[in-house]
Amino acid sequence: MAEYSRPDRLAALAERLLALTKAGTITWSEADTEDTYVYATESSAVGVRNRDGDDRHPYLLLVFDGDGRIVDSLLTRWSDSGVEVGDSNETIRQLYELARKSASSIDAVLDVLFDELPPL
Amino acid sequence: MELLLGGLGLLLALYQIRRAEKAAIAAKEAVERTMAQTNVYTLLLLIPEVVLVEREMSRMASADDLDATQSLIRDWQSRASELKGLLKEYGDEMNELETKVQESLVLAGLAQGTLNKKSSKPSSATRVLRACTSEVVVLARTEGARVRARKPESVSIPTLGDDLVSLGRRIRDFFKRGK
Repeated sequence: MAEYSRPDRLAALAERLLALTKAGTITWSEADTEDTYVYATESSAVGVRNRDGDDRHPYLLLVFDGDGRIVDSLLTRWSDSGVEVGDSNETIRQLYELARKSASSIDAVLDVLFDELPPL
Repeated sequence: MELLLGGLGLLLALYQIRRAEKAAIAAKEAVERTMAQTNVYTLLLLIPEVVLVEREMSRMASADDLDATQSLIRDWQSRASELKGLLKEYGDEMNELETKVQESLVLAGLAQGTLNKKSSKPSSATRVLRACTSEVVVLARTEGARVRARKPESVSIPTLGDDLVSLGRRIRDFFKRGK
């Protein structure tokens, strides 16, 4: 396994999750905590959250251990002037958007809606 | 004649070593079987407890009883952790249940966090968690029924007769090689 620093490993994890979510290989679940989506494996889980619930940065990648405790996290970073500084900002933002779509089955609802609409 | 006696002595020594090895292996297998059976019993006892907590949690949440809901979530976390540990013994066989239990643990932790802020009612703060725990219960019941229906493994323990036949073959092979 390649040697990464801890933030780099989390960034690599975000990249991997994004690729798997885009491919439809993994699906996310909504959590009771607002603006948080979760994907679980057999032994751990990850979550992605829009911290302020405003659909804007910062977004948060969360890692849970086997007992459901948060053991690590990566927050998208922004400077005071609003200039993007975090390398993983865009990855985590995209991941959040796709996780939300996956959890709420937006595409499935839209597909049914299009099918049920009368023709033009 | 000396060669014959020496050969028989060697075979007897080998037989005794082999016999001791077999006894050690049989003892180890017996312990493993007992452990596996204990895990099955614990699993089958734990499933109804999980079912009860889930049912009670749904009742308390819909009544919007904050303290009772928080306490039941803790009960769920404790039993779900135990269940997950037992499921590990089954390897890939119960992956789906294991993943769902893990998801319920994460959702339970997040729901506790939401309830601690006392900003939302138990009914809304545990909506997703309760949906997940219901799924866990359905899967656990199915897997429990499958484990119960499974026939016990048959174990063949070599008898003294088997050992004597095996020893006879070895003696025959020894003399064949000597010729």
